[in-house]
Amino acid sequence: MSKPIIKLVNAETGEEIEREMNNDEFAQHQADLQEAIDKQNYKAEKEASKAALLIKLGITADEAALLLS
Amino acid sequence: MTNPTSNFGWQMPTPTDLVTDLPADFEVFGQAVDTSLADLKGGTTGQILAKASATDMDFTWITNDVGDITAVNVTAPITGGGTSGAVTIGVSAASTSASGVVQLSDSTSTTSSVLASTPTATKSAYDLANAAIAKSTVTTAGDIIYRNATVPVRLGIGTAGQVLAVNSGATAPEWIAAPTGGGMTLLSTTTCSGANFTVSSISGSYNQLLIQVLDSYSSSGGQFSVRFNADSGTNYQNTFTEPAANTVYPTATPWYYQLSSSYQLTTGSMKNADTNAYSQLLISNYADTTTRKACSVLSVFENLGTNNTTNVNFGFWNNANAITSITFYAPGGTWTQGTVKIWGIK
Repeated sequence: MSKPIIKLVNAETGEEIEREMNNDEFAQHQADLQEAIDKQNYKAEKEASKAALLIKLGITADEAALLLS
Repeated sequence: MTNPTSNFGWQMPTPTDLVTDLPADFEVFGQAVDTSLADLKGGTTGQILAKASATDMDFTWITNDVGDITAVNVTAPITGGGTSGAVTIGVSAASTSASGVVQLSDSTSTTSSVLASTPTATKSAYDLANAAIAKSTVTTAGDIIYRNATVPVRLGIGTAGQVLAVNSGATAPEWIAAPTGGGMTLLSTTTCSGANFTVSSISGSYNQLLIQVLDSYSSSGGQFSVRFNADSGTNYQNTFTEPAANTVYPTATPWYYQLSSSYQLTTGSMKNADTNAYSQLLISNYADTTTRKACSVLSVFENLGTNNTTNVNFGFWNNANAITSITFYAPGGTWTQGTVKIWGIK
């Protein structure tokens, strides 16, 4: 299975190289991907918690924002 | 009495005539002589007689101006001349190919090639020349001329890289070293592509770096971020806010704080052509080797064409090394579009 392509640019010479990620870079790429998923999940969980709390309080998001303004 | 004289025909009695009326005969004779000699009367001192016509005794008194000139011979530009009678001479007009008489002109603007300049015209030209700047004022290629308090003077060419400025007394121009501050230099322009891309060998000769991510989006969406010098440690700290999109009335917008393995350029999901994002990251002390690197970001994107969102963040990279390379991430996907420009700021 091929790995994702990355591009390396030398700012001094303008030389550009495109190649597959090596193993270390691919591992980091996987870790970054997982971190992004975790962030999205965290954000989604927070949104869900917020929505549940609004229901529990019986107010809308705008009303909650009004309370905090 | 029909006895005329042999030459003039004056009437007188014949030798045998019986003179019966001598006074009358003598009157006839005398009057004829008087008539014949009438032209001899008059004249003034020095005048001489000249024939007035071919008729006998037809004379006239004339001035005695007959000299010893027998001919008037001429050469160009003199014309005319002759060997008898009234002699007429002239002079040809001058041209660029022949000598002759010329007409004078006061003009200082004519382009004629047959007129001659008068002292008036010559003085006008002289006055202009006398008021002109002497060619000898400058001596070297690149010299320039300026006026001091009274006259034009030379300012010799400066040295390579110098710029022209006004001196401290505001009295004259001078060459000075080019100011070292200010100005932006484009160090790199890169088309966004791949899962990530890295710009390396970034010059450390500037005071600040400005990174622009223009018109970009990725296949995966998510947030764009950068890493410095391939540091994937949790060394990136930033505080950001993300106002609610398309909010008609102002609402409280929270600030977030995060410690991460990359520095965030955008928030939201840049996955569609409609979400093309513009971000700019300013790193104030990127070449410093003693302190962490202060970063600030301004970004804006359009979320699926309906929600226009802005993002502001500031923070730092907790590392004292000078930044020489920057890696641009679109986590989980590939860059689909966009351009990154890196500027050095003095």
